[in-house]
Amino acid sequence: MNRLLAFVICLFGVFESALAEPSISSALSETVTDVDHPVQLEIKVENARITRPPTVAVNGLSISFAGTSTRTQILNFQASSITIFTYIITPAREGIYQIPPIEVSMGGKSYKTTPVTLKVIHGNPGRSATADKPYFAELVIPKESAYVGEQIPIELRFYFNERIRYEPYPQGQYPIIQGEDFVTKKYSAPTEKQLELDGRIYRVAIYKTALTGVKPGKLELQFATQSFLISTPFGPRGPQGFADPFETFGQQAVDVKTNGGSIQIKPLPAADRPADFSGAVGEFTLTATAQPDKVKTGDPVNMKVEIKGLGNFDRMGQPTLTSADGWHIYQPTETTETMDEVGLNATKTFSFPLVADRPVTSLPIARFTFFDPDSEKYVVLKSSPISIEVQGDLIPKAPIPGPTAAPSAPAQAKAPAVPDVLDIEVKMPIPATFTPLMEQRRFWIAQLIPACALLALGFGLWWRNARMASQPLRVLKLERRVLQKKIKASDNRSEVLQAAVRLLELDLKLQSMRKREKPPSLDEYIDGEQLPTEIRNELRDLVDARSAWIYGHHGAESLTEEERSRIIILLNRWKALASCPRNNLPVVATRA
Amino acid sequence: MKLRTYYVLLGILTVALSRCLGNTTWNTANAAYAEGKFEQAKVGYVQLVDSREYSAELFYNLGNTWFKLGDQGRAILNYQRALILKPSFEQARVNLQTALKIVGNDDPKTVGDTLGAYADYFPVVASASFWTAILCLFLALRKRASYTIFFRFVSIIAGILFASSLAICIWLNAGLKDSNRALVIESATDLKYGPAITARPLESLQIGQPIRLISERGDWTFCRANTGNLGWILSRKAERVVP
Repeated sequence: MNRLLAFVICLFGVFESALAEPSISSALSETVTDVDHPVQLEIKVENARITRPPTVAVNGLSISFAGTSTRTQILNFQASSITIFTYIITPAREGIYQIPPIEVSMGGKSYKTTPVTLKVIHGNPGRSATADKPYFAELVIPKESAYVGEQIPIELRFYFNERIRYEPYPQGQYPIIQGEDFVTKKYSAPTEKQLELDGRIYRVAIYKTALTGVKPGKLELQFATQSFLISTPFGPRGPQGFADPFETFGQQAVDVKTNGGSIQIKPLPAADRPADFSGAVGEFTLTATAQPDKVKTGDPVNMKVEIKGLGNFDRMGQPTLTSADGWHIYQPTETTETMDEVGLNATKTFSFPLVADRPVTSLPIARFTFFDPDSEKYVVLKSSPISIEVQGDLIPKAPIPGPTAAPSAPAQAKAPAVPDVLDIEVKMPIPATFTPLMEQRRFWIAQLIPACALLALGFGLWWRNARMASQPLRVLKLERRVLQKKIKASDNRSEVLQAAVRLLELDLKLQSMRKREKPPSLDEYIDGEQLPTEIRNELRDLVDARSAWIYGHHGAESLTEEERSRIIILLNRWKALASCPRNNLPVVATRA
Repeated sequence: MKLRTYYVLLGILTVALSRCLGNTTWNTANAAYAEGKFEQAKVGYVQLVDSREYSAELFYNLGNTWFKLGDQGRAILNYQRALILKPSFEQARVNLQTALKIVGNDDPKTVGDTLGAYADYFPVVASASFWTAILCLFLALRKRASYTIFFRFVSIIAGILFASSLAICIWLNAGLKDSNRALVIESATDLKYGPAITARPLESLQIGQPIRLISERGDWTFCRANTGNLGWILSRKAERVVP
């Protein structure tokens, strides 16, 4: 039912819309703007279908079509459709511009917009040339002259008005510097700063790199350019510090160019140039270390030569090793650790594998030559001698000797042309497997060892605690057995009587311990109501006889067999009673 | 009883004989290498590899032999194998660097590759820390326990160590011992969009560059390069690291 109603309303709306009169209008987002500050032009067409945007052209204004939006609305059962064509107008120079009536044909009729006027001002004439621009760039070169191979740090700064959003276009694109006879290092990731310039706040994207002149002469850098996709806000600026959440933006791709510059590139002096100079220009220090410091002949030693400082690490050759008699030197591996984002300040480490073929006491000396542009002369660095203990016999030369053995004369100590590898292993190989440890059965079997140890520990502790808990009971039982033996074996009457009474006491104690109760004294128990009268009397007689014997001082007297059997019968009956529940005491007849 | 003794003796004899023969092949191959007969040495080492008598030293020597024969791709592959079996093998590392430098492969190692070399160490750490944590927890929780605080502290530390090692184990999986990991061993290897010579190349692969094999079709293998690109390469241009 609801669907039917909606359908009818829609039909009605469409019918109404078909009857409504088409109209066209145009409006600017701002009627006054600055040079290069874009504004938005909207042409609104109501109640008509137009797919092609009308052409708008004004001399002195750059007008580009930005997009179309269409919407249909039903208001008071009256439907209307609205199509909006959006244009971005960027003024190139100041002046008053009139956007003429824009003509559109709809249903055989011609409709026109009313003309709109845009005033373009140039801002404050006292400001610098860049002050009014929404974006601009500059190339910062710190030096006017440098040597061939010397790295010159440069910065490319791209300024954007704080209201403009920007991103490199396409993403990941880095600036291109126009010019010849130089090379640049890889750009660092751009950093962003906020700067105030002529009273305006700019967001500045800073790209850092280093530039190296490859031949002497004047190095002309025409400009650097970078493409950005910028989103420029339309409409009047909001109050300072408050962002308008409903602000609309127009996007466009722009090429931002920097200024140019020049650097005088000087040739490296040929005079006093050492033979082993490999092209390093800058300021460096050298340190050498080695491991281990005690080896046998034939064992490898890793000699690390660290070159630290500021300069062109990517054009740096390896240091030469001098005083290398007795050493077989192999091709070094190189690692560079940069200390800054461009890589001017870094540490380059050369790891030389060395093998001594006879006992020696010191390592080769590392020698490195560079040109210092500040002092304008060549500098030779040498490592301090490193002691090492090499023991063993003289090793004959390998069948194909490594071509990297460094001669002691620095002039001949060139890097080897063809690197060689360390020699083969001749000792018996140790079997190994490619099966991952987790998939090996022995790994899981090995887990049983700690598991069993842990279980054993747990069981041991439980056993110890249980033993400790049952210790008093076990002591009483042991005493009971001793007493029983004494009753059966002893001929001394006093001993037997005492043992019998003690046995009765022990039984009471054991019974109480099992029931976790306080044990009653034997006298209390006999006087109580639990026992049958016959047994009670006999037990009383036994206790009295024991007391009479102890306190009567009768001396030693032998026990008759009849008396012993009577005591034993009594004890057996007692035992039978003791093993029964106290509330239901049966009288058990036992045999002697 | 007699029959059992006979079988035991036969078993011991077989093992001893195979060891002796293995030693002989090893020594022969080493001698051939020392004399500069690299082709002959290669045959000996490959024979040992075929008999699955794997060892870091064997792959290192085989890598050296390939190096001397001028096949840097297979040299790199075998040095990698040696390093997988023995991550602390310094000579293999040096020679691998040398071979990589010759072929111009200066790709930095990824964290996964660096940790992957020690993939077998993490289960040991995880296992040791797990049992330590359990033991300390047990000792801390029992009645009348002494040094309770100490055992609790140790069990927490061991627990954290266990959790982190386990996480790394799961992340690394088999590490460099992954059976689908392969290395490019020939130059001019292109990763292509399709399994055909005429297919458009997607990326140029360097010798020694690791790839992950996914599936095979005829002479072509579908794989993922370490750059993340998926494509096809000729199967003979890459070899599995795990033989």
